[in-house]
Amino acid sequence: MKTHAGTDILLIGSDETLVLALQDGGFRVTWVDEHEDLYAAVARLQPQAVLVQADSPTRDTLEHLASLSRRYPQPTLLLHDGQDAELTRRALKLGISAYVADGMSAGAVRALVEVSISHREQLESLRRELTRSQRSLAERKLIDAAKCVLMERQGVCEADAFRHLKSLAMNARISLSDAARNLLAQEGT
Amino acid sequence: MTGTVTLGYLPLTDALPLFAAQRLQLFADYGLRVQLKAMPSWARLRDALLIGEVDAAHCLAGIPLAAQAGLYGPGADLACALTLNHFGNAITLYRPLAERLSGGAGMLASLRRKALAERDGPRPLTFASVFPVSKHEFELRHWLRNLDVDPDHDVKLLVIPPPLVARALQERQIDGFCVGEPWNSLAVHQGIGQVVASSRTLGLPGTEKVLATRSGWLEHPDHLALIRALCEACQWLDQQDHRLTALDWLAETLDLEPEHLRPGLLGSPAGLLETEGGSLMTFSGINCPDDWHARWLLGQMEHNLSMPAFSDPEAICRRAFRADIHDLAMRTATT
Repeated sequence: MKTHAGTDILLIGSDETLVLALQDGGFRVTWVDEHEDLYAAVARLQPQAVLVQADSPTRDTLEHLASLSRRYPQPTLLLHDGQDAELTRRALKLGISAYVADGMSAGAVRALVEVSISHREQLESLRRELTRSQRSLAERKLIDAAKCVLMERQGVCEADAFRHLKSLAMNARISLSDAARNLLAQEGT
Repeated sequence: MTGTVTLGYLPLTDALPLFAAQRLQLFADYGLRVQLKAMPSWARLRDALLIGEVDAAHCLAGIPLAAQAGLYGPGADLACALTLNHFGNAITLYRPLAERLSGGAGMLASLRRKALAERDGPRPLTFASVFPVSKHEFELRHWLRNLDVDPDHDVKLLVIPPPLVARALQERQIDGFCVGEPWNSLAVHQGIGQVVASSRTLGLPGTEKVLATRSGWLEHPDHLALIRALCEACQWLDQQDHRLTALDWLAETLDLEPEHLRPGLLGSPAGLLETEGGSLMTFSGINCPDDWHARWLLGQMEHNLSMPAFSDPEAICRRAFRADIHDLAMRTATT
């Protein structure tokens, strides 16, 4: 992978996995808390780029720094056009905002935004996967509980209880877990 | 017309016309379904306007002007055709500092002495406003100049988002700030701030927030309908008893106690009541974009923000402040 060893990135807010992803991409990363004095941090570190959550209120402070001097990182959405603009829009929609100083090469900027985007997308897909797993686990539990009720009530084996539940679902044109939920609700009353 | 429109806003007292229009069903009266979307910063709100995430927004008047002046790049074509309010900001000092300085007019003189004494030290007096092109910044500078303090050399000026100013004050990152309500009254309530001036008493042009949108959307029927609905809401807010009703809506929307919002809406920020009568902000009778205010704001940007002179300020103001669209909206039939 191409390295951007000379490129200092300031990350606002603590996102350890993003720090790792950026370091893997060859960037040198320092991160500070949202409540820290950003004027002091930027003066001290002189980063070529600042990455911040798009929804962080500290963005207005970064806008001020950008307005004070061209030496400070400028908001990317406003700088680039064409393909790069599309990239920064995507980043913004994923909740990332980048400020970039004049000296940083276009390639490094693109790499920075791409690393952040793919990190955020991975995070999103992990989150979706987790939700899906949690949901299917919950459904599994419902179905098991409904089978137990049927086995007890009708004195049938597990396979028959499952067949019964399946036909309930098919007749009502609902999912297996909904059929289980209905059955348990009836049992509860 | 049955448009669905997304409106951005920052959770501030002067966004009230948007909430009032929603509660009073005024948007519905003009055939609009409106979704209100809170934004965490002015930068985020500007970007949301630029990428079309919102159709229009409660916005600092300086943002469409800065966009037309080219500060946000060539594609940033923002404008406004409705002023939402005049005044509403105040200047608050760190309370222990204000108390240490001698009272009244003497207080301001001793603030000046302090500023000059600490100017070359490790920690000069430091003040915050809310955005580079906000009127707050220019009000703060004006107030400092009135004290014979040079805002560029005698003190340090920062931008700190209003939700973080109280903390910055407490941690002594700053000694005072100029922000909109409810943030002054909240700092007073927390016992860390004392209000020393309000935008109404500074004698500067009043235009504070506008309804900003992309220029391409100015003549859209939904935009014209928005202008009429919001004008009606502003008029309704003229009466004290209506504001009292609206206080509860505001408290609910901003998730704050009505008592902390009351000074900004019905009186003056706490602490200024002795010196100032009348209410802090005006919503009605000021809704047509005022070209003179635009010129003043643009001039302030030029003089205070170390920018190269704008080549054609009149054209910038004409593109940013669209009184013609305001008139068009008011002429358009309601049905």
